[in-house]
Order: sequence, then structure tokens, then C-alpha cells
Amino acid sequence: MKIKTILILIVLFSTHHQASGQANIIGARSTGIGGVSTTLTDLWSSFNNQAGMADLTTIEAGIAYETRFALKELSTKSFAVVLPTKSGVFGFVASTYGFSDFLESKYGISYGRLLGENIRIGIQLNYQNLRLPSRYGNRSNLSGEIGLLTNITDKLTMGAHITNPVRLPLTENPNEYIMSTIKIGSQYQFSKKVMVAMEVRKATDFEFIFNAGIEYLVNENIILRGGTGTGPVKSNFGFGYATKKLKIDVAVWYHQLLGFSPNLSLSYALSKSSRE
Amino acid sequence: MNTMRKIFLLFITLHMTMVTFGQKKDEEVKNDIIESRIELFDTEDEEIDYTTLFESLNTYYDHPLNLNTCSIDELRELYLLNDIQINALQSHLQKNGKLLNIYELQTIDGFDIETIQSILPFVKISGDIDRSQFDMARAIKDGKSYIFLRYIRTIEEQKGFSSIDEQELASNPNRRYLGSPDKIYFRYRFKYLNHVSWGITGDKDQGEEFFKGSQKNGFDFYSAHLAISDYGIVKNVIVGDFHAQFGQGLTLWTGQAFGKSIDLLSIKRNARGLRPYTSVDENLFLRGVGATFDLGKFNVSVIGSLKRIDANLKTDTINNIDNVFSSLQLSGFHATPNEIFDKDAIQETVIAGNINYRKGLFSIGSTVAYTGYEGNFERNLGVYNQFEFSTNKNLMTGLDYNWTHKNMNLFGEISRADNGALGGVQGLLIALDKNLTAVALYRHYDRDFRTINNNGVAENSKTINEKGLLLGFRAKFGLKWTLSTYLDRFEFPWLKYQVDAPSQGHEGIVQLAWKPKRGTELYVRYRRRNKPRNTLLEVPIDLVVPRSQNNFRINISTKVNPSVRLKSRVEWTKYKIDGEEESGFLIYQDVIYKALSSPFSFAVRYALFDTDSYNSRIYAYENDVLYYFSIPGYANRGSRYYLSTKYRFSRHLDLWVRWSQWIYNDREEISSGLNEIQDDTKSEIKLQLRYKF
Repeated sequence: MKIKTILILIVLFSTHHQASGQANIIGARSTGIGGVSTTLTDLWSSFNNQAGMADLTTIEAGIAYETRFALKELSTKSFAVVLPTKSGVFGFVASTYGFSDFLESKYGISYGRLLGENIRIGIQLNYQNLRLPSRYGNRSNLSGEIGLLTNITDKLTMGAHITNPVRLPLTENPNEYIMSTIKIGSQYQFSKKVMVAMEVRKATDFEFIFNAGIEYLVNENIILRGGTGTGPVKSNFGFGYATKKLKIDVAVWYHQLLGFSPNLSLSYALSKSSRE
Repeated sequence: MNTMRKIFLLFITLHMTMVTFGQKKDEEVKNDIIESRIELFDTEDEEIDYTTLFESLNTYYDHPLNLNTCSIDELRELYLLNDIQINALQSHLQKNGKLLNIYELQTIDGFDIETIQSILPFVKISGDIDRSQFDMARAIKDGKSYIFLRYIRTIEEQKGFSSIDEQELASNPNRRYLGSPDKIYFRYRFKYLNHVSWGITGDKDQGEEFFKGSQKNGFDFYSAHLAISDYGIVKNVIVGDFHAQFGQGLTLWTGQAFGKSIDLLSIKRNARGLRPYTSVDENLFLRGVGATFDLGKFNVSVIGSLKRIDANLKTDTINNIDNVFSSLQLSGFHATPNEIFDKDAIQETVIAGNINYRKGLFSIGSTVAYTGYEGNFERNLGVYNQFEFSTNKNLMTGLDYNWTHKNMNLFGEISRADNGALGGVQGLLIALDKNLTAVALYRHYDRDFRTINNNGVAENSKTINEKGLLLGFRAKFGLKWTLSTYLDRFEFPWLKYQVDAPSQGHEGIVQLAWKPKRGTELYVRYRRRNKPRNTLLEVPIDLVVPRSQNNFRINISTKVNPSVRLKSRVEWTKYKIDGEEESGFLIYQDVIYKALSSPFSFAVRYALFDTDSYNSRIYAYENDVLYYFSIPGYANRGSRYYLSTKYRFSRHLDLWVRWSQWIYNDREEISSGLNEIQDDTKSEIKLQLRYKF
């Protein structure tokens, strides 16, 4: 038990969650391809790069669950729903991370749309809460995110996503602020079946991260994924099952010392789009 | 026969539908080209004034060159064509007669689509003979004037402006700046084509007084000129402030020049003779009279300049001589009593002449330049700089040539100083194939060669104590891929500042660029520099140890639609000395919006950077207000953003507003000395107004 507590503390203070409240990658699809998320366009774009939501045409909702290093104290539970309208795609997201003595939660409203020819843009406004009874008690903040996507050629897409471009204070202590992040990524669609994606991610005060992964469609329904990345060095594997309405994705990533982190996400498209 | 050829060419060009040239007449197109050129040079200089360098592009944008009738000099002034391309154009004109349309350019060797697109805004094709002769009445009527006003201020209080105890200031008057933190710039210019130009420039730097105290006349620096060109045998006459540039820059060259860069063309100095001076560098120019006479195949230039320059005066108490100075001050800042004391301390006289013979694309010239200082120059000499210029007279004599034959361009200059020291540059540019261009450049500067009013290609900032050979090529693979590379090996036969032994090193770049479509370019670039210096370790002898710097960059620039451009960059650097390695990282995203239909445009950047120290800093070009170029080094850890906007009120009036901020996460104070800021942010506001009439 003691070891477990120490481990939890080490992880808490060594991952990007430190006094940050966000910028984690949500969804087992991203986890499966090494944590690359900038250029993906699916329900989870509402967390990872809101510009990707612009491509969505149906109302869709889903949940995602990650237990980092299989410790339930380090689990992230997420919910997302998107609503395409004539004037763009709206979304609502919610997620919580941690346990009673360290709990981060985030609620966001997101919006993504086409902005002119060949450029998609997305924004999100978050209300986030950090509960750390031993140190801060309860803190609530607002934060923002902005993302871009563009097609360079038919096959090559690139995008960028920024969180909290303006430094916002977390507490009265001027040295504690909400982390800013930027990620720039690209994906190349080799064929209908094979896609390769990579990205570079940087958060203030942390080493940059490089992630890359491959997605392979075995058939209409079955998808295999693999990837790798740095910060920490990891190996990722994933599996997906998709029908027109239902998507089930599972993934694990492996850290050499801390072991496996399983991920699961489910999503369901409720209806046909109102936007033909 | 000629007609047949012409018809055949016309036939071909009409079928070249694969490329369409949009000839949009918008100032932004021109500014984009200027910006992209400057970005290419990738200098590691925070603030270089390129205003004068790109003057000619502005002229030719308003009055495009007629490719059928323009001169070789005019083509060179574009800085967009090399001599081999100019030669190809000339022989095409001789062989086939006048160009019929812009599409015909594609049939000329060396004119690839990129080149054609870059020169398009500045050229036209016309059958008319429209070389205008100078006419004063027309000049006044058709001339154009513009006024620039610029204001810059750092928001956070810098130490030099903070309050101080009066007694402390009385005993240490240099502990604070005299004036306000505002930077103010004013410029008026009148221009009629290339024929008439007059103007006045005023500049107040940060901390300088304005209309009071030491600056009763307002601005700290004023510059003015009147220039007339192409009047009879007078090719050029300038009264006031001007630049003089000849040969490869070894003998006489005032002002900036491009240096080594991945744009291999920039290695060659493109001397432009006499040009009006309109920048704000307060020391590196000439003030007086200069004239160039066009005597057919000979061009003769004479120059006389007399101006006061800043110098560090010291008192020679032994001999009781006034006007002894130990160094020339080039900063141009006059914000503390010490700086004001050094201001205009001595007089500099420059007398120079150049004679140039040319026949087609062959030219040979000779330059003589004398620089004299009032008083005695007594540099504080150490072992390392004992051979540097330290008298009050300097006479340089140089011989230069430039010759293009078919696909080969040879150029060079050799120069001798009156102390017997020699400097030389020899270069070769060769188009081995229409898709493969190679360059070679050798330079040699003696350890006692002079560095006054000259500017030759060098790894060092001055033309002294260096020899080196640069080899490079640019290869195009199909329409989409370009590989460019150079390697420069250099040697410093004598000691240098912080290098206590003769040393040698190298610098080189390999860049692979991919252009999947027009307006989109992805490139990866590796740059390496190895330049030794003294060890930083505490050892009895300052050993010279290797110091290496490796940069790796990925850059994506894409025009997603006619009005939006996205730019992304990721760059890593490793800096190594004494076995200690430091690293740096920079990532940024730019969005640039310029719509032809809208009077409003903007450029925005968001960047995160993380470098172990100032040594591992990473330089990056920034979008700024028109004609202001900044390439800051991103150092330490934090974020940076800027928003640069422009609003066009009318054909006459434009306004630029720019806000930028550095946010540091690893420090509570920024900068040092009088510029120190007790804060973790540094913000700047910039306003610029241009009125054209």
C-alpha cells in the first residue's frame, strides 16, 4: 500500500497533470496510435483538437476511460457529445481525473467549423476545478483552447492545437499558473486502409514530446493500431470495432517501469445529421 | 527564320497551360516576396535594416521593368536573378527577338516557375521603347511622396527608467537613461522612378531625449539626401547621405550585405554603386557628395564624405594630446551622459573613387578608398588584436571583376591596404544543368587586413584573419523537390577574441524542400557549425576547445486559401563545449490573413520555447510592421505571442499596430544592465502610419 501511494505521488507530480488540469489526450483511438491526436477527426476531437469536429455530420456521444498504470486512483473518466448544426458543430465535454485527495475535473463547451476554403477551426472554453485538500482546497478556473486543421494535399493533413495561450493564474501564488501547450501534427493517408500520423507536443516547463502511430483498417469493421512516443518513452497498441453507429476502441500503452495503462472508449451516433 | 522561331515559340507557350501566372496587383504580393527573401537569409542578427536593400523592388513594383529593354544593372537590382539567368535572357532576346508574352520566359534556360513567379510583380513585357529621360517638370508631377511615422515602446519598466535617489544619480549619472522609453521614427521621401529622390529621416532611440537636454533639435539622428539619376552623362549624383558599394565589398562597401545562406545566390556581393541612404544606422554610411558618370563603356565614380562619428575618447595625459580614441562606437545609442560624451567625438573623412569598364556581362573595376580620422586612434591592443587597424589613416586599393560566359559566372576582388595587407575573394557560380547549380567561393583576409568601410563575405563579422572555402549546390528533382546544401570550411590563422590560438572550423546546411503545390512548402533543414573558442573551465591555460552547434528544423508553410497562410515550425538545437551539452527547443504556429477584398490583415504567432541557456537560443523570423524586420533569438523557457495588424484606410493611408509579449517561466527578471526588467514578462507595442501622396 505504501509503495502504491508513493507511486501515485510520483506519477502525479511527474506527468502533465501537475497543477495543470488538462491537455491530456482523450480516447482510445489516439492512445492506440501513440497518443497522436492533432489531426484526428472524430468525437474525441472535442477534447483533442476542436477543429476536427468540423468534419462531423451526425449527433454523437461517447465515454472514455483510462486507468493509468492500472491504478484506479489515476483514472480519467470522460464524456463527450457533439451536435452538428448548419452553422458549425457544437460540443460539450466533461472529464475527471484522480481520486478524493487529488481530483481534477473539467467541463467544456466546444465549437468547430469550416472557416473559409480548406481551413477548419475549433475553440473551446473550459471551466475546471482542482481539488487538493492538503494544499489548496478547491480551486476553479476558466481556460481556453484553439485548434486549426488544413489539407495540404488530398492525402496529407496538418493541424495545430493550443491551450491557454495567455498565461492564467492557478492560485494566488504567482508561480502557479495553468500550463500552456501547443501541439503540431500531420497525418498521411497512404490508402483507404492505412494512415500514418505524427505530432510534436510541448507544454510550458516540460520536455517536448514526439508521438507517431499507424492505423490499419483490416476490414470495414476491424481496425488495428500501433504507435510509440517519448515523454516518457512508450509503446502503444490498440484495437477498434466500428459499425456505422457504434464505435468501440480499446488500447494500452506500456511504460517500461510503470507497466500498462488500459484505455477504453465507446461512442454512438444517435441520428442522421441535420446538416445534409 | 527569326519569324518562324517566333511562331514556334508562341505555339509552345500557348500550350503551356499547366502553369498560370496570376498577376495580382497588390502591394502584399510584393511584400510577401520581400519577406520570403529575408526569411531565406536566416541571419542571426536581431535587427538588420533591410530598407535600403529592397528599395529597388519597391520602385520596380510601381514601375515594372520592361524585360525587352531594361539594362543588366536593372535586372541585377531585383536580387531575384543571377548573372547566368540574366545572360540566358539576354541571349534569348538576341536570338529570338523581343519577348511576346510572359509565358515565353518558360522557354529560357534557368527560368523555372519559381523564378518567374518571383519576378512577375516587378516586370512587364512590352514592345515599346519606354526608357524615359529625365524631365524635371514630369518628375514633380509624377513623383510620389510618402511619410512614415513609427512608435515603439516596451511596456514593462526597465531599470534605466526607474526612479533613483537624486544623490546617487548625481554621483553616478550613467545609472539612468536621460530620456523616455519611447522609440520614435520619422521619414519623408520623395521619389520619381529611379530619377529623383530626396528625403529626410529622424530617429529617436529608447532612452534618448527628445527636444530637450542633449537633444535640442529633437531627434538624436537625422539623415537627408537629394539624388538625381540618368541626367546626360551623370548616371547618379547624390548630395547628403548615401551608400557606396563596389566590387565584392573588400575595398569600399558601406551598409549591409547578405552573407552565407541557403540561398546560394546571396554569397555573391551585388554591388550597386551609389545609392541614397535612408536607414537609421547612425554610423555606417557616407555623408557628402558622390557622383557616377556614364562614359559609354566606362563608369567613373567619385566620392567625398565628411562626418562626425562616435568614438571612445581617452585622455592622453603624458603627451597632452586631445582627440585620442580607443574605439569606434557603432551602437548609435545616446541615452546616457557617457554615450552623449562619445557622440560625434571625431571626424571621419572618406575620399574614394571607382572606375569600371564593362562590355556586356564582363566587367572589371578598380576602387581606391581613403579613410582618415581626426585625432589618434589608439586601440586597446591585446595579443589577439595586435594586428588590427589602429592608426588614423587607411588607404585601400582594389581590383574587381565579374564575368559571365554561357552557364558560368566568375567573380572576385583583390584588395590591398596601405600597410601591405591583402584581402581576396574568388567565386564561381555554375549552372551545370538546368536543375543543378553549384557555387564555390574562396576568401582570404590577412591578419592585419583593414576592416574600415568594407564588408566582404566572411564567417567573422569583419574582413580580417580568415581564409575559407565554401562549396555548395542546389539540385531540383522534378517540380516538387529541391535539395540545397553548402559546406564552408574556415581557418583563423591568428588569435581572436576569446580564442587564444589559431583555430579552424566549419559551418554547413543541408535542406530538403518539398513543394506539393503552389504556395505550399515543407522543408527539413540540418545545420551544423563548429567554431572553437577558449575553454570555459577553470584551468591554468585557456585551451582552445571545439564548440559545436547542431540545429534541426522542420518547417511547413501552406497557403490554405487565397487569404490564409499557415506556418508551423519545430526546431531543436544542441550546443556543446567542454563536453557539456545544452539543448534548445522551439515550436510555433503562425496564422497570416491577407484578403484582397479586405482592408484589414493580420499575422499572429504563438510559440513555446525551452532552451538551457542563451547559448542554445534559436532564431526565428517574425512578421512585423512594413519595412521593420525582426529575427529575435528565442532563449530560456517560456512562451511568446504577437499580433501584427494592418488597416488600410485608403489608397493613401495605412496603419499598422503590433503587440508582442515574452512570458518567461524560469525567471523573475529579464535582461541586464539598464535594460533589466523586474518581471517575468516583456511586452512591446508598435504603431506605424504611412501616408502616400
